[in-house]
Amino acid sequence: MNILLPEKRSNQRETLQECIGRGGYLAFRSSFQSEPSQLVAAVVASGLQGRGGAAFPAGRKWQLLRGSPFERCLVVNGGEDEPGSRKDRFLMDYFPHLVLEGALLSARAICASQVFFYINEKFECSQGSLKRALQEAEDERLIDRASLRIVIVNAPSAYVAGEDTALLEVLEGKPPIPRKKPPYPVEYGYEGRPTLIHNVETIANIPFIIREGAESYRRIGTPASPGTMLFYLDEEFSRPGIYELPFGTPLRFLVEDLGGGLSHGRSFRAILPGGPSTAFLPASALSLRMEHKAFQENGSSLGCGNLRLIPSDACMVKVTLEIAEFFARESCGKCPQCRMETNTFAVALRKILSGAANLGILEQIERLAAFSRGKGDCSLIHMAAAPVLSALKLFKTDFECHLNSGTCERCARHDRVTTAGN
Amino acid sequence: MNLEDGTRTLILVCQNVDCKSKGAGELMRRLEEAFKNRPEVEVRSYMCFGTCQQAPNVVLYPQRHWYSEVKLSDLSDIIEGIQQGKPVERICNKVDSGARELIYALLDAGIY
Repeated sequence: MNILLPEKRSNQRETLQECIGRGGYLAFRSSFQSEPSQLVAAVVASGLQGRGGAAFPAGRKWQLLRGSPFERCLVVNGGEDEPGSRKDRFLMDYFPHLVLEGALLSARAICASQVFFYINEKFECSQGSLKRALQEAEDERLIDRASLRIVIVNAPSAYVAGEDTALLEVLEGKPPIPRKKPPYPVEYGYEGRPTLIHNVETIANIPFIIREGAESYRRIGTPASPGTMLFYLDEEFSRPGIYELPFGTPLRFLVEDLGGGLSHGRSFRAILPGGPSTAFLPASALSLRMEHKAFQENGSSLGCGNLRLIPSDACMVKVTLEIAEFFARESCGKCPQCRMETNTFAVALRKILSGAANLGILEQIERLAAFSRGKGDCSLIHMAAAPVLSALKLFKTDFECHLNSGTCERCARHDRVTTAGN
Repeated sequence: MNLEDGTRTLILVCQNVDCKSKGAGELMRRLEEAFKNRPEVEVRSYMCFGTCQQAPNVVLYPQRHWYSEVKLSDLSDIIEGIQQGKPVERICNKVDSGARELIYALLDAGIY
């Protein structure tokens, strides 16, 4: 059963009338018969967890914020700079009224006076779609923008700009540099006001929870991870696309039944389950059920649901180096340990790839990650380590081959094919 | 460059944001100039030692002399110390020993 998307999807942006036709804005209209505290209670009871990657209980944030006597703000985070991630953009492009209703309900629940839609500057279509939705909702007298200030803000297209406190800096007209926490945004956010920040998909869950009730929501998914999640399969799959599935669905169903596996019947050796900040899993992890706990117990995470399969003919040193270079590039440079760690990972992996280091380097990479753990103002330092450490653990032979001979079986085969092709 | 016999020196000068903002670029230029005709000494930029609070940082390897908060006025002593094989004690090994040991281990593993 779906919570966010209609069972039958078209390739068109959902209009206001179509959204209303499937229950849209019912929850918002009826919310005026409830106290804001009842809306908060419903979200707490639903067990909704943030969909941005950390899976933090959304209701807990709402409770923390409700306790504050100050004027409050809501930010809908549509920065979505995780490489390959598409789902927030997809929701904003095609289902803007679902996102808008979720934002209106959230704002009402926490008594916010200001709502920011923080949307990646490159997502012109998403910005246009939400602007149109705002106008349509205003024309239908669903919203009164005189009593609730709603603005769309350009989010810089940089990985770190999606981090909660870097986002606050941008809203205040500054560069996207994360702040030291605590204080957390729910205590001290935009211009010092308590600020609730949720990513787009999290917000899109709110209308269902308020309309159908927390109990109905909890009937979908698993007790520990209620509801559904959007998963994005990239162009490497036979049937790429965005799929909505209840938590607890076997990963195999998503990869094989829906995605059709890798295109051209290629096999794979590793799974990167939730974007580049998650740890690799072996191909055998297809038997896992997609819920946070199961993935955590296996050393990884569902992240933002951007699933990638690493083909059997890929060298894991090369794949890991690409990710390490991404984090070295995207580290904002504020925290010394993060600069050092992300740069060193990239340099070390380049050395390994070319065989220009000794086997001791593998142990030192692990030591570096352990030394850096918990340091830095945001979690990028931890994100950069997860793929490197898991690749070392699961595919050590690839690293050892490169260190011993400057290449590996897969790279050698690739080089032979390339040479023959020339 | 063979560093194993200890008669050669790699001078690593951090060129990341903090060190650079405190003059690491000029330090590097002057060190390169001082050792341009000395093949046993190589001056090389380093991406980051992670001890930016005590910038600029210069590390001599394999001697394991870690100089922090280096000023232009320290350079003559550093150059003389390299020639005599002695550290400049007043600016040497002032940073956290954990950070130092980590970086030395990375250098030992060939990451430089």
